[in-house]
Amino acid sequence: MLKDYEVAVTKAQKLPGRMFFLEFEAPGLAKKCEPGEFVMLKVEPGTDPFLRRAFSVFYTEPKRGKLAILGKSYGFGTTRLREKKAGDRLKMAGPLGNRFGQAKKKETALLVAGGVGLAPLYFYQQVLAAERRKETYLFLGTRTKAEALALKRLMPQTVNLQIATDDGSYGYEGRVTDLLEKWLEKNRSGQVLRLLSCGPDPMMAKTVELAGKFDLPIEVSLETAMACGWGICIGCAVKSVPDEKTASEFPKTPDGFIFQRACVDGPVFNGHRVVWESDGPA
Amino acid sequence: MARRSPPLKVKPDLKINFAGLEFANPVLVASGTFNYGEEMAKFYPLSKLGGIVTKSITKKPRPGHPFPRTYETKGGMLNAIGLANPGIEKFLSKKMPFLRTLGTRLVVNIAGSTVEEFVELAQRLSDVEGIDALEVNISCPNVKEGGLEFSATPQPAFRVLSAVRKATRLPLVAKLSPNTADIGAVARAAEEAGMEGVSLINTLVGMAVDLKTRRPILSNVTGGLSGPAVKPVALAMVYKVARQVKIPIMAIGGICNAADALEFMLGGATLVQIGTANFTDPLAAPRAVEGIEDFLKEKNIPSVGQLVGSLRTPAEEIDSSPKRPKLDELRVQT
Ligand SMILES: Cc1cc2nc3c(=O)[nH]c(=O)nc-3n(C[C@H](O)[C@H](O)[C@H](O)COP(=O)(O)OP(=O)(O)OC[C@H]3O[C@@H](n4cnc5c(N)ncnc54)[C@H](O)[C@@H]3O)c2cc1C
Ligand SMILES: Cc1cc2nc3c(=O)[nH]c(=O)nc-3n(C[C@H](O)[C@H](O)[C@H](O)COP(=O)(O)O)c2cc1C
Ligand code: FES
Repeated sequence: MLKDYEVAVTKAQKLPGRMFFLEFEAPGLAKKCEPGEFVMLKVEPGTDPFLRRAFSVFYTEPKRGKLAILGKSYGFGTTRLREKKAGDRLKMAGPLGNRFGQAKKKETALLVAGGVGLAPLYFYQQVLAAERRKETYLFLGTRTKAEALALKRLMPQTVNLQIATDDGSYGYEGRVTDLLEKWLEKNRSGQVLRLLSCGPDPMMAKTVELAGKFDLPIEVSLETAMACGWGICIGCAVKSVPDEKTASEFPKTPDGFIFQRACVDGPVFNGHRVVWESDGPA
Repeated sequence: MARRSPPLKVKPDLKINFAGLEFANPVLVASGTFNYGEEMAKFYPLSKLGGIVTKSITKKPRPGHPFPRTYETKGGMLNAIGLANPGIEKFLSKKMPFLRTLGTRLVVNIAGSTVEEFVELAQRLSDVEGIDALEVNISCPNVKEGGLEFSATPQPAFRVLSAVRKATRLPLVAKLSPNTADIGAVARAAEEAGMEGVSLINTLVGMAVDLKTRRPILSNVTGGLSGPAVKPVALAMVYKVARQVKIPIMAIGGICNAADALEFMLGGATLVQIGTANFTDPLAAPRAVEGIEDFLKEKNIPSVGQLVGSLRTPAEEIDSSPKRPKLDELRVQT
């Protein structure tokens, strides 16, 4: 069952680079949410903004009834969300969408995050680490040192964290995908590896390209703009290469692809099948 | 001084008759804002609704338009989904089995690009068990063919609707477009064509531009505007149509809650459809049902049907009888 919960902000923190962190008292969702799933937040009651905003779950603490998200403000809704204070109440529907695939035996997961794309991957790492003791490496790209440190501080539990900053002020200088490529060149052979990625589209597209080059499976968590978040508007079309297993209610496009709904067929997709469009999701 | 009557002790009657069909309550959900019910059944039992109107079904499956298909605007949104749907055959085999189990009225929305396609769809659905009525979508603004040209003027509307009328015994509701000079004239054409009812409004043609890229935001360039922003337009149109036809009206357009629904009923709607509000509040529709019941209790009104068309209007307006076209006038031009 899905539910629309009323949740209260328990911790609110503004982070550098227009990012923000919010923790909620949300016992129902904290119990239910799994890595990869997302929630739809009604930023304000009424019409300003009208539609909800989608956020991946960053972590849950089921025993304490807590659920956290990591955001970045772009437009009106996320700018308002960044101003939320402890005690503010809002509506949160979930858990929505699919999950990351289960780790296989002897498999090492490489988590490739761009900025707040970190959220679902950190959640994956925490659950996996806690439950299955699988090895994971977390590659995080940010623009600046301040952003990197702010995010690092929010995940005291993380392991095998490697950071790349665009300006080289912290960690590896350059793109996180370059850092990943170097790592793969050194460590690819003899390992069973799997890639998971979330971040800006160009970053994910590049990660998929590397997955191809090193012959690795990859899951990507997409942030396709959504109107509803629960499957009823058919707005969140993700173009992908069809295969026998891919379920789509809709027929092929004239150019031979299929549209899937990011909110119910995703947001986690097989990266090798996603068609990245230059003027697709922002 | 008028004495206030005490609040109702008995449960008010939410049941309401529309074109010979009894609905458990006046709240339905609008086509394209509820898919085929499966997703929303995860939020609440759909038997709480007066009925469901399905996403438009076309003869052949349609992939829909490329992304981006939606865009938030002030108090509403634009959409150009492009009638993405699995097509009638998959609808019958994959969606109907579930829809039959819901215990609520089922209105299937059909869309064609030609008169023949509308007729074929109506014939195919005619004897399907579990369908209570068809909503004939002659008003989709987002497709090249079969969209607005059927509903912008009375003659084409009359032509397609009278052909559909002959193709099925199911009760028919024509879904009208606000993108017309005179929605009253199109509604009268629908009545003359033998429709049991009309539903209005579909979305208003709208557009959004990205200043940074100098491009339209939607892949289809234009889309349909919906949500609270369109409510006043819809209300005026329902009010206008209610005074020009005898057949009952389903009101659509920005309805988010019981108050909105009741306003449309006063304006002349028998039933209402909740659309875009399903995207922002998954429980909007069942809450509207509860809210209507509360209103009736509070105002001591025993039956919801009493509200229909009960708007108090200036006397001269009530007297004005609209000009009704003669059947011949319509036929001459078809
Ligand atoms: C499954 C999923 C998970 C997400 N997880 C996170 C997360 O963990 N942290 C985070 O910071 N952001 C996340 N996002 C992106 C976030 O939802 C958007 O940044 C946000 O909706 C933009 O709202 P706005 O008010 O800033 O933009 P506006 O431009 O004001 O929004 C207008 C409309 O477009 C939609 N929209 C615009 N940009 C995006 C976008 N990039 N993605 C989705 N919808 C968009 C909005 O929801 C809204 O309906 C996620 C998106 C999805 C689909
Ligand atoms: C995303 C979306 C998809 C829609 N798809 C259809 C459709 O397939 N057929 C149809 O007749 N109307 C469709 N509509 C129009 C709605 O049924 C309704 O007439 C309109 O949105 C106005 O009501 P609202 O403001 O309550 O949403 C769609 C509307 C939206 C927002
Ligand atoms: S966001 Fe509405 S169907 Fe996916």
